[in-house]
This record gives sequence, structure tokens and C-alpha cells, in this order.
Amino acid sequence: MSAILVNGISKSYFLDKKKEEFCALKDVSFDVSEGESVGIIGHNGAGKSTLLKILSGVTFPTSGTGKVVGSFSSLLEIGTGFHPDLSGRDNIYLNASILGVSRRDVEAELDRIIAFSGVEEFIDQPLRTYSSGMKLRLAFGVIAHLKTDIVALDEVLAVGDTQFQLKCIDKIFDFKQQRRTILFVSHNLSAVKKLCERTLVLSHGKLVFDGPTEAAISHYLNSTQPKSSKDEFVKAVNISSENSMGSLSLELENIPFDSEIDLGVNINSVNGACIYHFSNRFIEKTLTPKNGKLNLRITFRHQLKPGNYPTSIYIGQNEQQLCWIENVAYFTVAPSNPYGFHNPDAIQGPMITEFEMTED
Amino acid sequence: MNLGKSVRQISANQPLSDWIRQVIDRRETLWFFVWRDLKVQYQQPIFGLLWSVFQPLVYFGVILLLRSTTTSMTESEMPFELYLISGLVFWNFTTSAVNGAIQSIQSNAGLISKSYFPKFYLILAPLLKSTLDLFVMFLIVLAFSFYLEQPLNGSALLFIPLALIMLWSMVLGCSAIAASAVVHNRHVRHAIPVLLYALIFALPVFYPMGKMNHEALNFLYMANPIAGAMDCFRTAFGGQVPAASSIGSWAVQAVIWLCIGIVAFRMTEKTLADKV
Repeated sequence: MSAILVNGISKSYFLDKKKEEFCALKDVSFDVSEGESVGIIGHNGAGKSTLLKILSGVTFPTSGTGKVVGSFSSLLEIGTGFHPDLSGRDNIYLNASILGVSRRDVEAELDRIIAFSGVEEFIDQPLRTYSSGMKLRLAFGVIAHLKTDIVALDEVLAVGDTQFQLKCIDKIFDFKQQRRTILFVSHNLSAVKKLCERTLVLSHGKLVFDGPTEAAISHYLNSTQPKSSKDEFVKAVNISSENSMGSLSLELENIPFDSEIDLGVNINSVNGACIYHFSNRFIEKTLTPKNGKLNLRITFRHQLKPGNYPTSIYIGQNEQQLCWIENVAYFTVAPSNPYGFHNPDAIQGPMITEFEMTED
Repeated sequence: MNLGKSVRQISANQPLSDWIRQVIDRRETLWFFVWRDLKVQYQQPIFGLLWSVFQPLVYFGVILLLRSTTTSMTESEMPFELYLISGLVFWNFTTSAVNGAIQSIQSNAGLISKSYFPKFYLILAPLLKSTLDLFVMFLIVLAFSFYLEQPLNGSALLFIPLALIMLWSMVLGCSAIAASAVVHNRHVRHAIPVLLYALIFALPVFYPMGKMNHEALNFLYMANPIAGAMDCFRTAFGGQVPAASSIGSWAVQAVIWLCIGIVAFRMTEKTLADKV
């Protein structure tokens, strides 16, 4: 029995001011059976979140049809609908109600939700007194204990401490045992591998692979080969390393507005995992283009081993992505042996650091 | 296995019947929205009550003061204080519901783009909250009426609910239209509170009905269903029966406004999550 059935779904947005159509999803069709756990992977901006939004009913497709059988809850963002002035207890009811769960069902699970979140002492305090970790635990507690037929999880595991992440994974395995249908969107390929037998790969809005997770992951990794063409926004990129200091200079042009943008740079390992992530958002720096142009320099200290590291660039505004260019350039660390190690090529992993060994 | 499970269709256009069914089925969420807003407002009950009557009472005082310096204000069959407070209550309800709808779309932007629920609740919830404030104010109107020795009568009991229903559907339609306009163009947000404020002069709040110097103005003035609801309310309060023809035309207009509002909102709703 199908839990989710979609048929040729497309979604396009009109970018403001440019009057240009941007296709977030192109003709996506698939079918998820009841009780199945399906992973959804793809690079940033591939359309994963858009797909979940359409399935959850948040937004409508531009064309195509589909159906969702049974109740659907999605954790698209932690604590959606939490109100800072209401108590933790009130927020549980509110959050559950927005997810479409009745008051009676919440009452039955209330104690377990509170216990899971570990916020017993604070449950009648206003939510504004909670730490972000407590809010996160409460939000996951709500979704974990409500008996919806289909659960959609979007990057849930990207936040929270390790202990809580493990607790979440445990809970998600419980969903599987309860035969709830799971849609799991993540960049964490090992978590996808653990949870899902089947995985969909999205690329530029198209469904490019639908099959066993192992094969999907290798398809995804193979498809992210370096490409030389740059985007219309990035005029020049120069990235180099000298004595463990990296330097990246960037010239942007054709940015369609002169208001604040967000810029992120990732330095990745060859198999696609992010090693370093730089963004103006982490240091509260505002970047404002002038006449659509912006020149920028990022300097950083690194511990990378000699080798070539693909670098990607993200430009966005107000959470809206303007462009995401993978492998825009290679960060090349010249062969060197700063710590005088013997046989340095045998060192595993992308990093190298000084260390000591002592016998007690 | 799937017996009893709801099936939700995904398509570019949601049929009106599905839309109405969703609005009815998920009503518990609507109560929660109202409950949330009330709980926040009434955390300190005295202040909560105060804010719901603050604006109309302040205007009431100011206009009474103004009246003592001029004689051109209304000379109706009912005491001026009662005339004024009933007008202010209706006006206040209209402004707070429409402003509430606009604010609700903006302050719930995160919710709109992240979770599914009938978006119409964002319009309905502030309206229901304003309705509760309206009932609180209505108690004050009743107090006035007893103090001024013009207590409720049979006609009032019959026609006041009718006046309220007309007002309600009219204001719901207006809220939906205003919210749609704001979603399409953010700058409208600044214009709407000003227009609503101007209504205090454009409605028979403290001027008599139908006493404009110009026929066309009079017509516009009378054609407004909010003015109609006010007139119906006051006539009934005065112990008379409002004219059936005017009630009919106002009721039809109120329904038309409501329909326009729903159609506009449904068009806006399609791209709402992408725009806020």
C-alpha cells in the first residue's frame, strides 16, 4: 500500500526583481510504501526541502499531482510554532496542534514527551527561559511521541550534542519498528546509510537516482566531480595555502541587488564531506555588494595534509539561495612535512597535526 | 490497512470543497491559535482586559471633549454617549481584526513556510480574538445603556445578533483582502492602518447617518455594510425595527465582501509559503 505517491511534480519560483523563473523541482515522480524508510540526498539547493514542503502541504506544486495517505508530520525546522511567552507545557500542545495532532492524543503522551526532553523542572516556565538545546529536545520530543503515520525529518541530526543525536537516532529506529513511514533528508550520509534501505538522489531539481542506499550514495558522490565552469556571479576565485595559512580571494559580480548577502565557503574532502566551513554569519559580518560587485578575502589557519580539496561557494539572501557552486576551485596544499614525520603519506584522514607519545 | 486514514491530494489547484473541509477538520488548531493569543494577552488579566477596551474608551473621552466645543455633532434619538460608544465599538472591532490579520501573517511567517495547517486560520484567529474583545466592550455598552435608562428590548435582542453577523462576515472578507494585498506588496502594510484609522471619520461613529451635503457621498456612506451594521444596531437599540430593504442590501453586500475575501485569499495562499 502506498503511503506517498507523487506523479510528475514540478515547482518553480519567480525570483523577485529578476522576473526570472527558477525551477526548484522538475518532473519528480516516486512512490513510497507504508512503513518504508526513504532517504533523500543531494547537494544544497537540489530541491530536497522544496519536495518535503510540497509533501507536507506547506506549499503547492506548480504542476503534477500526488497523494499522501495518513497523517503526516514534518520537522522541517526545530520548534516551528513555539511561542516564547508560553510555558513548555503549553508549547507542547500548540506544537502538536500545528502538526495536526489532537489534544487528547497529546495528553496521553505528555509525560513521556517531557521525560524524553529532560526539561521536567522547567516545563511550566516560559519558553524564552529555555536554552536552544532544551527547545530542540522539546521539539524533537513532540514529534517523536506523536503517532503520525508518516514522519519527515529534515536535517534534524545536524543540531544538538552527540548524546542527543544518538537518542534521536534511537527514536528514529523506534519509528521504523512501529512501521511508520519515514522520509529522511540529510547530508549525513552515514546516518542515511544506517536508517534507510532506499534513497532518492536529487540534483538541480531532478530525481536522478532512486534505489538502494549504497548505490544512491555512490551515485551522489560520483556526480560531484570537479567542474571548471563558474557561475555568472563568481568572476574569479583564487585560493592558496602557505605554511598552514590559507587565503581565498573572491570577486563577485552581477548580484541582482545591493542589499546584504550571505556568503559561505566550504572546503571539502575528495569524497564530499565538508572539512572547513566559512560564512559571514558565524562572525556577524555583513556583506553588501556595490553595483552588484563584491570583492572579498578570507584568511584562515588550517591543518590539512598536502593534497587537493574541492571548494564550494554559497551565496544567498534571507535564507533564499542565489547560487551554490560546487567545486568552484581546488584548494591545493603543496607537499610539505612541517612536523618531520616519517612516511607522511601513510597518515590517514585529511588532517595532520603534531603529537607526542609517552610511555607511563 | 488504510481504512480510516485520511488521504490528502497534492495538486497545483486545491478544489474549494477540499479547502473548506480542511478548514473545518483542523479547527482544533484554530482554537489553539486563539488560545495562544489570549493566553499571551491575559497573562496579567487586568492588563489583558484593559488593552481590549483601552482604545475605544480613550477615543470616547476625546470625542466627548471635542463635542463640548462644537454643536454640529449628531442629535439622534438616542443619547449621544450611547450613540458614540456603539459606533466606537464597531469601528474598534474592524480595525483590530484587520490589523490583527496583517500582523498575524507577518508574525507567523516561520510557521507558514515550515508547517502545514489551513492558512485561513491566520485570518480567522485574530478575528475571533477581536470578537471576544467586542463582547467585553459590549458589556460596557450595556452598562451605558442601563445608566442612560435605555435598556435592551425585544427588537434589540433580535436585530443585534444580525448586525453582528453582518459586521463579522464583512470584516472577515476585508481582513482576507487586506492580508492578501500585504502578501503581494509589503508596502501596503503601511497604508492599511491609516485607512482603518480614517474609517473613524468615514463611518457614522460620531456623525449622524446620511446627513452629508452631497448625494454621492451619502450613497457611499450608506452603502458601507459596516455603517449598515452600526445603523441596524442603533435602530434596534432604540427599540425600533430596522427597514427590511436596507438590512437585505447590507446583508448581500456583506456576503459579497466575504466571498471576494475568500477568493483573494485562496489565490494568495498558493504562493504564500514562498513569499513570506
